[in-house]
Amino acid sequence: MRITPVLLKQHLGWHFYKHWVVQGKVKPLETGATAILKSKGIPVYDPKDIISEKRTIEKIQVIGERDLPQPLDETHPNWHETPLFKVGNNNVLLEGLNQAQIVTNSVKIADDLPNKINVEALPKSVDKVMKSIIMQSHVFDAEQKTLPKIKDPERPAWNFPRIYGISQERRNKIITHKLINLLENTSDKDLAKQRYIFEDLLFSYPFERNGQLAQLEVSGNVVMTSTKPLPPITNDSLESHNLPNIDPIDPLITFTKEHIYELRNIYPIKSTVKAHHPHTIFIHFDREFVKNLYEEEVTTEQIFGRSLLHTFTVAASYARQKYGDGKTLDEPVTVQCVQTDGRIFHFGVLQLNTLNLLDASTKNVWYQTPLQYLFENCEYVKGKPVLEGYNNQIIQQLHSFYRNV
Amino acid sequence: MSVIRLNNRFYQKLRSCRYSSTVTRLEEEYTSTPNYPPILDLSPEKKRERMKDESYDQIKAVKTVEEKQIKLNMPKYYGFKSYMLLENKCGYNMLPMTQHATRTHLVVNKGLPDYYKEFNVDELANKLKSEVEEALSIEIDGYQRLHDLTNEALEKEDLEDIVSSSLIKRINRIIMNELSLDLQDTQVDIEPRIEASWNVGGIVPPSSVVNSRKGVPWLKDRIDEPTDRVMVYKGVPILTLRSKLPLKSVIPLSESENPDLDVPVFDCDPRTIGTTTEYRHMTNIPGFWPGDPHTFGLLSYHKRGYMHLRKDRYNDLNDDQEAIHRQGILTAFGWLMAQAHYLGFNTFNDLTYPLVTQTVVTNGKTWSFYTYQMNTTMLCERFFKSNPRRNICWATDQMDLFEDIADGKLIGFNDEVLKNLLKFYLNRPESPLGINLTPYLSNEEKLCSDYEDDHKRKWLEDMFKFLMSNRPRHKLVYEIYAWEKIYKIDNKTRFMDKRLRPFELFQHPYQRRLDETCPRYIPKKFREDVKRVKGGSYRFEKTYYP
Repeated sequence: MRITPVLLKQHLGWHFYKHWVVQGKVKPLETGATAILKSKGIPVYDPKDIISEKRTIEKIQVIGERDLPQPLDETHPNWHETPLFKVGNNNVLLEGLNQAQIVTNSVKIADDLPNKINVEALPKSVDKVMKSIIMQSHVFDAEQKTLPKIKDPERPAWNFPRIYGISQERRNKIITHKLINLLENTSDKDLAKQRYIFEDLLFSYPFERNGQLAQLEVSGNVVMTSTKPLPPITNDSLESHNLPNIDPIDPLITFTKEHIYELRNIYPIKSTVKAHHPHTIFIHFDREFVKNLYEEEVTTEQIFGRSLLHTFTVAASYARQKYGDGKTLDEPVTVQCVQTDGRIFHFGVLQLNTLNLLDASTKNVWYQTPLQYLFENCEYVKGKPVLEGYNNQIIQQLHSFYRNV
Repeated sequence: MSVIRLNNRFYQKLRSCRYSSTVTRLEEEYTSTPNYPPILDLSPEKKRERMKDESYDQIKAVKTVEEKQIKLNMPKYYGFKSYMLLENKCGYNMLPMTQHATRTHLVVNKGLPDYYKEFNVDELANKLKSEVEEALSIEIDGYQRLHDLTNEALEKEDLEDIVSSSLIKRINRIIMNELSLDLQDTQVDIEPRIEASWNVGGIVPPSSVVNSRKGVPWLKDRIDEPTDRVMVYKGVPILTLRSKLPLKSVIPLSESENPDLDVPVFDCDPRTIGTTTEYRHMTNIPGFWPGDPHTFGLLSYHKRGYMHLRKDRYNDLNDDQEAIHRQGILTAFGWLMAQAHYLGFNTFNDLTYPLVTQTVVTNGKTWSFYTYQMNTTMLCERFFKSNPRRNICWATDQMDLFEDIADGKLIGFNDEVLKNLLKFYLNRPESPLGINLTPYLSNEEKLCSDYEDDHKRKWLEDMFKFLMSNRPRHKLVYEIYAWEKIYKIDNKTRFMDKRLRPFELFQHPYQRRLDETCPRYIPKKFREDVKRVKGGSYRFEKTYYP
């Protein structure tokens, strides 16, 4: 039985009334005891004066199993007067890629993958496995969780029935794992031995920009590392490429402003691990969690910006671990990234040339593809599992990323 | 008074009765040898048995996987009272009950059974040893996990599960890459949802059933006759491998009828040792929905973090070992049971060929290996005594993969564990010659998506997913509230109230069948071919209950 509803089944008023009817007729009997006692000279007291004692209730301090959480105010041990501008896993930048380019001092060279990465055609059997992977992650997995509420902008108050199905988080997880499995299965054995897979890591990179403290703190959902660092993608002069201009918008806009923080450089994989150089990061995208501060839909540009920020954080924190706190790097750091929600795929490659983010002479290099779709539709249509509009380009690009040494 | 005047149809009947035709019919009825109808035992027990058999045959005749599952759930609108056998919750001394509920003969050896002797893995083990050692050292001290950095307060059992999960994924990756298994045939699932339900007999009846039998004169001799219980297994393995073809059987099916394979009898109610009950629809899910061709399980890995809780509570090493055996048996049986349902078998229609799977229970350091052969699914009361088959589980003792860690290095790596694991991977499925893998499914329509009728397909699909989700119904389930028990049943203080509740009207909401509900109303604008007739069934959606 639920605890919440008010029952009122037992009508107390009625019962009290009935009780009153009976008890109201009772008269206290005069026993004559008082008169006898008085006649014998024994004092008679009112029982209430003797029985009712006045109690003072002492307050007891209850000690719980665990300490109470720290209040999030000035008394917090991590409270700082100077605010920190932070981007976490679920923030996006207002101006998307343009703003991310300014923050990370990166220039976009082309809307394509670098020439060094060759995209080659794959045998048809790979496409067959790929299709079954899509079906397994979008249709055949047996998870049944309440999916996010359905909203119709035309009828905002309308309550749709909640649907049970595969959550976005699980879709992302399954498709990434199966894709990596497929990539390794179709590649050379020795190549697979050079690559390690890590999950649920946290990367953090603090920096200062025009006197303001900022920190990028992201989780690489799945990170592929390799025994050798990736070589630079380009040595061309970048003088002809300029950073975009988003005036009058501040480059740190929509970074969240926080006073409770810890400044820390984190590249979680220790250098004792043979394959600790970042190779490709797989970023999961979930519209339920990744949101704008002001409720607007996340745009394609903002997805691109997210890819760049994540890749930069991984590359920069790795560079800190490798080259120390200096802002110049002995050798550029190259990291590839794939952002996906199971259907959309965004590929990017970052070459980190400098950690001096206000340096106009040296800039970082960013290559990216446009947003691509792995398929048009994959769901039960009238009780039949259907996959429509499969795009074989994605697995080819992933394969070229994987083979890149 | 003549018959014709009494019954005015008599004359018509008389006219239609032709003598000549009667003669020919009588001639057809005669055969050279007398052909008697079977003599049926008309005792109440035999009648009940025949009724049950008939209902089991009805389930067998249902065409598709999804419909069979709906058919199993037809008797109960609110679901069956189910005993929850959870993978990661094990009380004290649960092994005998689990063996009884799964009818499993347990064989415990130091190593794997002789069946695995044909696989020579020494060379492979030497090749992979260094990689596995490296994977272990990475997991122990190679990187900081998210929870280390966010200072999340996790219990030690959760921490152990996190480490063992990521280690298993790493080791599986190493072995799969080395063996280059064909991905068109082998599927890897990460943390799939596995559920299974089945009926178990041979358990003493609950007191309510005993009391009700006492009141019926013809049941007085059978007061203590056992009743069926619905058992439910729920678990989430770390990782499973499955394939399109089954593994070959360890022993032939006929050998499973050997009475020497003893199975302990545990006839007490499972609640006596800490099992809880829930009202649930019968669900059978091997981690994927029907339609995925990879229906046969090869290998599953399971966590054992919950052993920390047992250590605090019982501190009994012998019982801990039994708890791991219980997990090995239960997880293998549960997964195979769910697979068997997708092949058309169920707790009332027995397997026609054995199903085999392999199970590993590990926390990264301590490993236990299980090979399970399922020979029978028919454990219900009707066949509990007459069914001679038993399921068999070959278990190993717990083994440590390494002895200790000092300065981030492993001491005493045990090759035997790695070899056992590799043998499990090398045991590849084979095409069974001359066996129909799905004898109880229709040849044309094995799944509801094979039906031509769009509406039927959609309806069956929705109903199947609804039952499998076990989501709460829109209206809360009926129950007798505490205040009703006190003021209405135990003490009749409210005789003035109008009798509206089911227990006052001699109704039994829990006996409501699944189809005892009004079909969905179709608003006029969505109806096809609206007939201008008042009433009629077209206002409501057509239903396809099997």
